[in-house]
Amino acid sequence: MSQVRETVYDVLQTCAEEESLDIGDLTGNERLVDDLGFRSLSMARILAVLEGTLGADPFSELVAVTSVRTVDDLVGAFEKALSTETRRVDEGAVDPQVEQGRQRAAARRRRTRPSTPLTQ
Amino acid sequence: MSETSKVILISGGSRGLGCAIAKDLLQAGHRVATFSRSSTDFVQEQTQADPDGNRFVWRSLDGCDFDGVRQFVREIEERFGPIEVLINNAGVGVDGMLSTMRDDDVHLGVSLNLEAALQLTRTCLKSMLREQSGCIINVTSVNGIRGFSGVSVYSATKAALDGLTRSLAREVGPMGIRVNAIAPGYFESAMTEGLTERQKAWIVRQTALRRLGETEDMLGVVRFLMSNEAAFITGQTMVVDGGLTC
Repeated sequence: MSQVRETVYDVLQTCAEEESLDIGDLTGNERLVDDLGFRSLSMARILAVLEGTLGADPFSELVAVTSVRTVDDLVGAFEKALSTETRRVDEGAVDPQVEQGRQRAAARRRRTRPSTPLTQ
Repeated sequence: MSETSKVILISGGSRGLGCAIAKDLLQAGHRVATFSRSSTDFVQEQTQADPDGNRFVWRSLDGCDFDGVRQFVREIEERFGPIEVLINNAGVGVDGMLSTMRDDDVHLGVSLNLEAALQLTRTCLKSMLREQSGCIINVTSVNGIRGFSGVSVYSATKAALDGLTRSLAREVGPMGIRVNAIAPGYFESAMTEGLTERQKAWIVRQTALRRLGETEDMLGVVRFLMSNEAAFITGQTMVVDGGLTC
């Protein structure tokens, strides 16, 4: 079992215990919400813990968080983030939806150039 | 949340209300991190007094530089530990009749007053979620509660922060994270120094306590909201306006 998978499993078990969820032994196929019973806020915490533990945030650019449904999806997202070979857009590894969103946000920021000093 | 030294991140803490809040919290023994576009006498004095950044850290950052802000938050977490209190204070007072405002000013108001606060909040929430504890205070305005001519964009952004306060409070409350807002009325500040004496006099007449506010009027409310005494308060906007909007 990879280090990433082991970490993900550990974090899921820890968070499950905090919420009195019995998720049993994980195989990877389990759906995080529908099968394991995690709510959206719990998932937000799980992702925050994994980001802090693994030192990677796959959902800022690489992977659309909405595509993560199963434990394997979650493991895959963090493995992707930790793989240095998959960080470039021109290699096609960045989720196109994420990249389009990033480009729209960057275009909005370019249209806004603060000319007025902060006054508050 | 204990009442011992907290790790506090405040946006726009180099001048005005943000600076006053930062000073007050430093005097109370907390660790304060802040950023703004430019340095001020306050920043320089604090940096000289604490060159190693043991309790005060400032960075030159534009609040709309979201990557830079994320990096700064990571730096502060490595230095001080998890962010315990976030104060979304940075803002700009764009004013003018909406029909004649420039695109740039509209974008500036929305980007700095709202989007920057959302991005900073999202980043800080991660450590608060990990810790299952935290306090977020959004500095909004009476302009987000009542209508005033000439500040439509500003009002829109401040009302949006009030909406953020309520919804985010519901969203993260189960994780022990409280989200509140403070809505100052008109107080002596850089934002009101452009008012004429006639305008100030009108405001005073409309104010139940018959005076403009002072920066110090806001500080106690901020301290209260981040204290254990406000442990059962979330999703609220505390209006500090001397009764202007009552």
